[in-house]
Amino acid sequence: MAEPKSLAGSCAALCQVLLTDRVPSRALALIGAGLIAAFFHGWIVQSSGSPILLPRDIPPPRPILQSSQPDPAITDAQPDATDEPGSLMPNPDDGPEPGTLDDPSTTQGGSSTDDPTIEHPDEDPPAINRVVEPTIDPVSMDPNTFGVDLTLAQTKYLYDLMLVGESVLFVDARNNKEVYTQGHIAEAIHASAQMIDAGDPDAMMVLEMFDPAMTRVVIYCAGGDCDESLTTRTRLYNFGFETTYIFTDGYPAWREAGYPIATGDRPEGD
Amino acid sequence: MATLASAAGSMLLLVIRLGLGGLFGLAAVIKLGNPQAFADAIHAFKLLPPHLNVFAALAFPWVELFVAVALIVGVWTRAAAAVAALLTIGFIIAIASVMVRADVVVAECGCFGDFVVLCTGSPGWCHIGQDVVLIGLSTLLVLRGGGFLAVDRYLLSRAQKRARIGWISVPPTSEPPSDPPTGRPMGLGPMESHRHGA
Repeated sequence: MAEPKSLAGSCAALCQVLLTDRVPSRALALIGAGLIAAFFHGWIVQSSGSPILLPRDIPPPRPILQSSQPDPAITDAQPDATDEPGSLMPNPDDGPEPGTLDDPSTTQGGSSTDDPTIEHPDEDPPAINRVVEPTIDPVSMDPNTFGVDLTLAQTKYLYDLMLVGESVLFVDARNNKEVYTQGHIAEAIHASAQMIDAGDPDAMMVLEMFDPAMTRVVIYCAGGDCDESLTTRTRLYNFGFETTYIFTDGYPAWREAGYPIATGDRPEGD
Repeated sequence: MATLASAAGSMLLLVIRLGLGGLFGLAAVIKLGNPQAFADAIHAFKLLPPHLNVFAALAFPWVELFVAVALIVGVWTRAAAAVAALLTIGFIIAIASVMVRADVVVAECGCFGDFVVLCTGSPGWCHIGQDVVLIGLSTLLVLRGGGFLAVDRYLLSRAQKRARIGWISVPPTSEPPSDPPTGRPMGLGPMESHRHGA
């Protein structure tokens, strides 16, 4: 075969080769073999105990009946101006009547911790309609009514719940370790999807310290359209955490709001 | 001299074949080892409809694996290299689309899972450059075939040998053929028939 002297010559030679030597049919055979293998692989994987999940496959956060009401001291959890108060109200379709499950007088100040009946029910639970005391927040801040995506005010509310001892875990899902070290929400652990996949010992140790059935997990990344929170939420769901939220505005919004942040490669900066 | 150049070229093709095959095999094994991560990566690109993400997360690495095996063994080399080039073109389109769409933020390329070959971070020009080099190498293989130690080459030489034997129809021998008792032997090649005819 003569040496191709120009680009056109090279293209002509390439086309000639592609049309001979059964290249198209063999290429199709290779692709077809891959597709068939993928079909059977997918069949096996998706019918196994740990199927491949997409963010849309993860159900909304599962309600958790907390054993105590938040401390009245956290009245600084003011809603953001951009919040929609209506979206925070308990859904009247979810339960029979508001206030029938908990009596505010008995749940005040953690007195209900003695109540052994407050457990996470296995059956599909009705939404918990707690009477939210006006002294705690002017807007009905019931985390059980929060959707997957949290506003800044809802995130701050959960942060305050964490400070008063509720089981809330903040997870920084950004892949880059450096950005976490430079600044993160105070008390947030660093556990990106890649770290969980790799079994990062620090992240695993913290995750195993929390009871997945009783912990609310707030995941955030860099805001905007960052996908890391979604992927981390998938991993945490596989890990057993079914009450997971995503702070969509992410770390920049938290920092700009002047809320507590920390630096260093550990939650407490130690 | 020409033989030496040809041998060097053939050896170069072998190196390219093994390099490409190894790279595609590595990518395939990493992706098949953690299909969830690759499904997430595909989801982040926001190119495919969601119901295709899971299948694509398995189909791409399986095709890559078959291509890698074909390249390393040297069987169907041209076809495998053509598929490798097609895959890489697809990756370039995906990366370019992310670079164009400002509303899509992809933190990691996902090209080789967590394994870093050359480029790190978000998909960008580095990844496109890397893929262009891969396309160039694949095209060379499509044009030139597998080079040394390729099953294709062995099969071709065997087929040619068979064809030659079939054409001559008698095993080649160093001794001059004796005149057959009855007429001309059937199936002689042109040289021999000429000699016999003379």
